[in-house]
Amino acid sequence: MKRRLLLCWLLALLPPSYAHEVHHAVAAQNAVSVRLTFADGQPFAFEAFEVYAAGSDKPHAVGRTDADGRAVFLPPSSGEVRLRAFAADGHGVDLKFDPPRAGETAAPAASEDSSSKLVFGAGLLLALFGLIQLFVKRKKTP
Amino acid sequence: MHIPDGFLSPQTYLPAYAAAGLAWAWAARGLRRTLDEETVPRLAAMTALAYGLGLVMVPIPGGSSGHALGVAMLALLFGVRLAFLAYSLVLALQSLLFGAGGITALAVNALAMGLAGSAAAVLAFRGLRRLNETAAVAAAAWLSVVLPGLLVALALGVQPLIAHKEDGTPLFFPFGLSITLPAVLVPHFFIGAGEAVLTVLVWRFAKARKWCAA
Repeated sequence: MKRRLLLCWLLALLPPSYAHEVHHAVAAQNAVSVRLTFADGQPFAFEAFEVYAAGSDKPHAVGRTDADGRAVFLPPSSGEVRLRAFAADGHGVDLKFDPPRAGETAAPAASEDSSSKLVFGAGLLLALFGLIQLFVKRKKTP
Repeated sequence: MHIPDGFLSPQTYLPAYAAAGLAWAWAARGLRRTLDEETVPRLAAMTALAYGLGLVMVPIPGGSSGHALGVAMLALLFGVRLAFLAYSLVLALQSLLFGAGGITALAVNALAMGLAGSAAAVLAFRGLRRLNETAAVAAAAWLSVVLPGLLVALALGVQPLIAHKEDGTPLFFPFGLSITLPAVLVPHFFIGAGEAVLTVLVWRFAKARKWCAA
């Protein structure tokens, strides 16, 4: 009788021991890929990123960018996502966007025209200092 | 070194804006007396140079890349006040046009790079120029990069301590001081060396034309 009870007790322990097993299921799904680069085109590679669904402060996905600076994740079923990526030296991004869902194609990324921005910024600076120069001249003119 | 939006907590950037506001008001005092017809075009050219330098990435040993600041040459040629104002303008433009540094982080970036960087450059130069002027300019430029680097690393590294969830998860920047200090400072030792060479060249050019204020 004792042996039977012991056997029953041991059998009762079996399901929890099965619960430690991790199952896997391979599936083809549509992931979102966001490529992160520095201003000079160098990839923001192997850095940590976090993805949050709209209105949630619990990460939907966490990971590291790949060698090409891509953060790849499966988006939540609806709504905007917030992507945060960090390097230990303080570089990174914190951006919100509406990711393409299964069957949708992403809008082509707007081309970054750095040289025209650079010229525009320098033009703004020089225009501002030009105004200051006019002000200084007027002040000194009797 | 430009801290982006979303990395600093309001507990950091709101007091920083208050401090920067006071510092901008202090720097703007006496601006009318300081600026004249000769100073404005030089300041415009040097500010434009600093703006461009901040966007040119150069490789650093170790696989990273960085850029010069140009704040030391502004400080040595025009003094701390004008350098701080001009560099704040540079940071605002870089942030708005290129996303290099955030608007919420502008005050911290301006205080670290514009104010502390230029003050460190002028103080180092004044302290060392009797020994050797070129070495003083080089040391001033190196310090104008490394000190802001230290301040930025401190501002980032304290974020997990001052802004976190109840379970300790950081709400803003996730890395502590033990990570940010070496990660920011070590590359900036090299960037500072490049800045020193560049500033000595500009200093010699400016000195030959008697432009220097420091």
